[in-house]
Amino acid sequence: MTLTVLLPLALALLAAPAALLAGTLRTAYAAPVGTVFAALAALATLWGYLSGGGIVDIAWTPTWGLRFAVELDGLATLYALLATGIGFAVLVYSSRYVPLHLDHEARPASDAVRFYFFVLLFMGSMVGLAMAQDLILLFVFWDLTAIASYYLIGYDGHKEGSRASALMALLITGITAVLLLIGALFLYAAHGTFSIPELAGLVEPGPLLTGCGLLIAVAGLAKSAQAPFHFWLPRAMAAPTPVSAYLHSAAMVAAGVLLIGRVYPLLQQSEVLLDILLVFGVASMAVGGVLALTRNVLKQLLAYSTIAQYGFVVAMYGLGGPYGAGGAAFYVITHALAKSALFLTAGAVTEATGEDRLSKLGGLRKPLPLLAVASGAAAATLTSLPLTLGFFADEFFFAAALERGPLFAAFAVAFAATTLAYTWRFWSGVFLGGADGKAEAHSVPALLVAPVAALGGIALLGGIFTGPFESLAEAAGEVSFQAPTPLGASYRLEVLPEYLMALGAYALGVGLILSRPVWSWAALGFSRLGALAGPERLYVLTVHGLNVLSGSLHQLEIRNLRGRVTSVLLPTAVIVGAAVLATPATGAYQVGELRAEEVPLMMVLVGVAAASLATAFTRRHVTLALVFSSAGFALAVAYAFYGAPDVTLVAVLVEVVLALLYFATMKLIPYRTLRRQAAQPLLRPNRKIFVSAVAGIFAFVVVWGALSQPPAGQTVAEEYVRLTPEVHAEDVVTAILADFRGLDTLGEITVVAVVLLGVSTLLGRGITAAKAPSSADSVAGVATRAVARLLYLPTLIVAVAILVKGYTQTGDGFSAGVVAALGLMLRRLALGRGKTGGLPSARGAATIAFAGLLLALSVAAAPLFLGDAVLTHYPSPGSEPIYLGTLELITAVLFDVGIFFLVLGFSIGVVSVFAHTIADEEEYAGPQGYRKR
Amino acid sequence: MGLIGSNWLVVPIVLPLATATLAMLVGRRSAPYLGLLTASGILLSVAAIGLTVLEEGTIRYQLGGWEAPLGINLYADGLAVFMLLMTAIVGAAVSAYAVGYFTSRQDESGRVAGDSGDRSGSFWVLWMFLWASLNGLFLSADAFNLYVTLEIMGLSAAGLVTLERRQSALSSGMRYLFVTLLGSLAYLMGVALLYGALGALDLATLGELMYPGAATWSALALITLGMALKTGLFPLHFWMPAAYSNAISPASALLAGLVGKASFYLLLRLWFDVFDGGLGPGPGQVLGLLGAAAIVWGAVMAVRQRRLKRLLAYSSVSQIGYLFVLFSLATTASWGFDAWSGGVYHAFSHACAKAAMFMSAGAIVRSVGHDDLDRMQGVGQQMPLAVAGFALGGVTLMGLPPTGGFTAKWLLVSASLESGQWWIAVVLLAGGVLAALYVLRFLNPALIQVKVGPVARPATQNLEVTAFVLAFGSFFLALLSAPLLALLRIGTPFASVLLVGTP
Repeated sequence: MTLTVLLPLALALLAAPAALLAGTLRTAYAAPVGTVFAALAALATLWGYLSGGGIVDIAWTPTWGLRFAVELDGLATLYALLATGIGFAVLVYSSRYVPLHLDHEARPASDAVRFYFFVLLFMGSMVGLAMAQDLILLFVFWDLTAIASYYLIGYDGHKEGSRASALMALLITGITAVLLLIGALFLYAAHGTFSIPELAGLVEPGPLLTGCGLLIAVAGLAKSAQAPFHFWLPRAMAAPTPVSAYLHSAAMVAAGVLLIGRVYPLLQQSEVLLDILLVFGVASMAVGGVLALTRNVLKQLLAYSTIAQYGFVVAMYGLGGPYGAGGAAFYVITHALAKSALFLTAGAVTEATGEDRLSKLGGLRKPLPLLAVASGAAAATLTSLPLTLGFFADEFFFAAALERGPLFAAFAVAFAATTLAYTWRFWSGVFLGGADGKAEAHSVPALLVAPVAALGGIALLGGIFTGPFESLAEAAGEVSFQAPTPLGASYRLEVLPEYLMALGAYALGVGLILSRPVWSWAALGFSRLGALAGPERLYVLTVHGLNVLSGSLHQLEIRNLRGRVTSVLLPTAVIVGAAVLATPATGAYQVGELRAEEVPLMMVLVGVAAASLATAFTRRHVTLALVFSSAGFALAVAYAFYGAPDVTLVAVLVEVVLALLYFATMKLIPYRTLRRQAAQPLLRPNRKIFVSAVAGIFAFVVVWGALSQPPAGQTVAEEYVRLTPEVHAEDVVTAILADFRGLDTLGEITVVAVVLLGVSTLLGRGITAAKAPSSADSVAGVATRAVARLLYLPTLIVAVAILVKGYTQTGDGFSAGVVAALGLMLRRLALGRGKTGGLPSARGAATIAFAGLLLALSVAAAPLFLGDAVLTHYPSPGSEPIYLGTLELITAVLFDVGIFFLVLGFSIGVVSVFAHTIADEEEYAGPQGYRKR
Repeated sequence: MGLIGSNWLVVPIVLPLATATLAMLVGRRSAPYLGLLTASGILLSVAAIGLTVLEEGTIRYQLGGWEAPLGINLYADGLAVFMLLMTAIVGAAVSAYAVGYFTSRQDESGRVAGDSGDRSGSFWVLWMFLWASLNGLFLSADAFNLYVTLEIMGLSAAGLVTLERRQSALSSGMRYLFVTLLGSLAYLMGVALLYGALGALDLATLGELMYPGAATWSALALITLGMALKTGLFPLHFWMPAAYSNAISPASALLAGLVGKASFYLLLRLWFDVFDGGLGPGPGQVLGLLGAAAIVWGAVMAVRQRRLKRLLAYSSVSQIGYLFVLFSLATTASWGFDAWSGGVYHAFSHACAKAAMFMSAGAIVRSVGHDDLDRMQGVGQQMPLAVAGFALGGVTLMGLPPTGGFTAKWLLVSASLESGQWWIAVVLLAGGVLAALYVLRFLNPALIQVKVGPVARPATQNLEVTAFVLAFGSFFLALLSAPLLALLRIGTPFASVLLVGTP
């Protein structure tokens, strides 16, 4: 059973890759391979249908109820046969047409492969779409058809119009496809399944069904180019003619009514939805019918005809009942045969004459007699003349309309008459009349006529042997209607109301043809009105409006950094402020008592505040740096008051280095620039003072509120103090840094290494490329040099002392590194670069730094090989330490040595990069800018 | 569990650190080999960690042998392993890409200052540091230690941006540095407030002690803002387009694919493990709204761009919105896990897809010499593999099956429908349509058939292949959703929901 479903599906889906493969081997292979696959798929579908169809239902992602559910039921067979059968005819036609087309466009013959690939992809996804029983699976195939159509419509991509049309088609059908998905999701949320047959049993009339049904129906209507979504279809005529034939008859546009037919079991449960369908259908019949009467270009005329014809189908679904659902399926078959034949005719005519406008064509019955007859049959089918398949299609439509009421019967007759009028206009305009002043025709290849003849022949034969078509349509109608839809397509020798209506339509149609001068101005006026205020105009305006809108938004986007930072800080302030205000303040905002011994501390803090205030009024850069430093030094004193010598040491050293960096940076900027900047008046000082004051008060309140509520329980800090002796340390800070929270330290020294690398890539030409220092003399005096020489070695000794004793006493690897670096820098400043006072090169400094990092890393990772956790230090807590003289031997100290080298290398490296940059700048700009100090 | 088993946990951190240091010391020639070796080592260790976590549950590793509130712990639950895996896969692909990128750059002269060799060396060192910090960030269970990893991450990422020596890259690199420091600073202030109020830094301990109060609210606001800034959540994304589009392409891939995800992960981790779901429903709603706005804004901006890499950068603005939507959906209700895992899954699929797209774009830009979308006509014929990679990644962004993006959107959409916030579902789906539009902005000209000559500089096969392979992986990511979601269930903050939810 499964083979009957899977064989046609597999053949259809494999056709595209097979043709692509064949085409890459040799361009000429693509067409025959594709055609054979299409034929096989059509035969397999027929075989599957005749063997009773089948169903395949595999859980795809079971957790979400997604299923790969395909079934070859009547509806699926109908559309799969159309897709593969018409596809076969179109491919035969294309095998001659596409090379000619490419030749006209001066494009390489190999481009044809792409054409076959996408046509066959289209065919495959249509077959999949026809068989899909699961809304999500359906959506996937739906999107595949959209993609294939995009590339086919835009096949002549070198023409601007072609690409715009392709995009328009994709937008209209793509955006509405999302509506399908949304509708499916809502149904799933309500009923827990995507399976259409299951949903049909579960849904109940109500707002949910109406809403979801409408969403899904709109997706189908847009794809079937129903008004007011119809405007993409005439544009899509930019596609090569075989593509248009296929799109209109069996693929893209047919997919829309296929969807409506597929979900019809859901739709028909809501009267509102049926009425909506009816309105859309009638509107499309009107718009398409009237505009088809005004068009001059062959393919345009046919495109508007398609809109009207699918309007009939949609209206039939809207009318409902057995004649509605079954008749709609029948109508689709008829239309597919006729419309594909007419499009192929248009293509052949244009190929023969090089002309595609009705006004330039005429009298072609003589040079192209076979084509005239074949397309005449197709046109007769479209106009539902007796003895053609189309006759019954209209009969069912009339029957369904009659059931609804006389008004709809009148509509039906009127629009059937317009069909006759424009079809006559097409056929007579091309083939009848005199050939004078019209384009001349040369003969066309047989392969361009044969498919037309075949399709027209089938339509004629169908008018006599209706049985197979009827049973297929009945089977399809049954799937939609969920009940048998007996059609009874046979000629009867009695006067049925449908026959009278048909006669009326013919008469009215002839009247329309004859009275053309009378109404043509009105039809043209309607067409102009549509161009002026129709949906296409709305689409263009919307796209344009969105462009303008996003353009102005983009302006907002690229404002300056200050504005953007404000936009970060301001919301932070608001949110934090709201958070603080919103939370209960019990216990917060308390002022503790002031003890006498804290008065010096208070004075120091006042000093910090004063220094901070002073920064606001200082304009000269050097002073500014000094004031900053003094605030930092004052804070270091505050740490000292709290008995934190380690932190104090680090703070002092950091301040020293920072001040040096400030000055070094300032040396990079020409003195004049600095002075000019310092002399400039402050911009909007009041605003700045206000903002600063508010920010300061605000931060104060937040910190006050947060810190005056100390944690209730025991903090980690107390534990650290208790455990410090256990790890052979007397200095809590060092113990925390090297042992308890060693990973932090490892991370921070990595930061230092990254910064070194960053500074050297940013400022220098990278570490490796930095030049050796050129000789330049020191500016220091004799006394300074002597002092520097004296101090240089002692600083190094101090550094080593801080390092090795750091674990038990004040100090650590970081401080030691900074002290040592300061010593080296002092020497460099005093002795200049020439006389052995040079610092290691940037590369050397980096090597020192990274060697330090490697050492620290090795110490951290070594315990892995001893079976302990990373960053474990030895000797282990509590055990007896080993002494070397007065020196404890602890691996943590080794870790610190790594840090020492890293910091030393970093400091020297940064200074070195700065020094080289300054030297380069001086060489570049000459010294005069700097010496004015 | 044996010590050997849990020791795998330090490998993803220590190994790249050691490689970075060694690569710096032994010189740049060996750096690519060391990098590739490290990438395979990390893949191996992450696989080992993943298998252990799947079999035995979460792993906790005490560094230095110190217990949790006292020392720093590494902690691997499903989420952490998920992110490690994401980073390992994308990282390995970018590493393979970078080998080709830098070797092929050496023949170039003029456009780039004559330091291409050195840039290669700096790239590898910075990238290894970055990788170590990412892995550390995913594994660390300590608030301050997380700050340290953030700093390494931000600084090495800024270094990577400034590897391109054009003026625009330097200025956007400095801007990025500024932003990343501002974000880290906000985070640090938040951590300081937490430590002041609760007296601990270990995440689990913080979570136990958490109470809503002035300090914790302020901490939440500061941390959220810092992380939103670093992730580039609308409207704090202003630094992103410039930084992503001006950096060299391997760096763009890393930044867009991984760095943004790391700060998002950090927020996610703290939000649910420490702040108990945002201390109330309000903050999550705000983030969700901003996420929804980001989806639309970023996508509209992306459609407007005229340059390929800027288009991708704005697409990231949009895709980041999907991540933040989860904050308004992930509650303790029955759909909480769906929303949470959907957001996380999106991070994975977007990381793979966007990195692959930046890699493709890099290969294309390098070959044709510009990234002007209007002049991309016919690129598809010249570089079919790169364009195919771009297209596959693009389909993931659209969220069609069977891509990873589909799983992610699916989970998010179903959560939003179940929670009754259907407007989120609409935004999510609209974002997919807009994604299709901006992907077509490139594919449309690239795939049309025009007569084209050979490109100025033929791409090395390596660049196109690595980009394509990664995109191909992201394309089929939905097929792996069962094991990946099983992984996410381990140690999830939504365990209680899962117990109720499982049939």
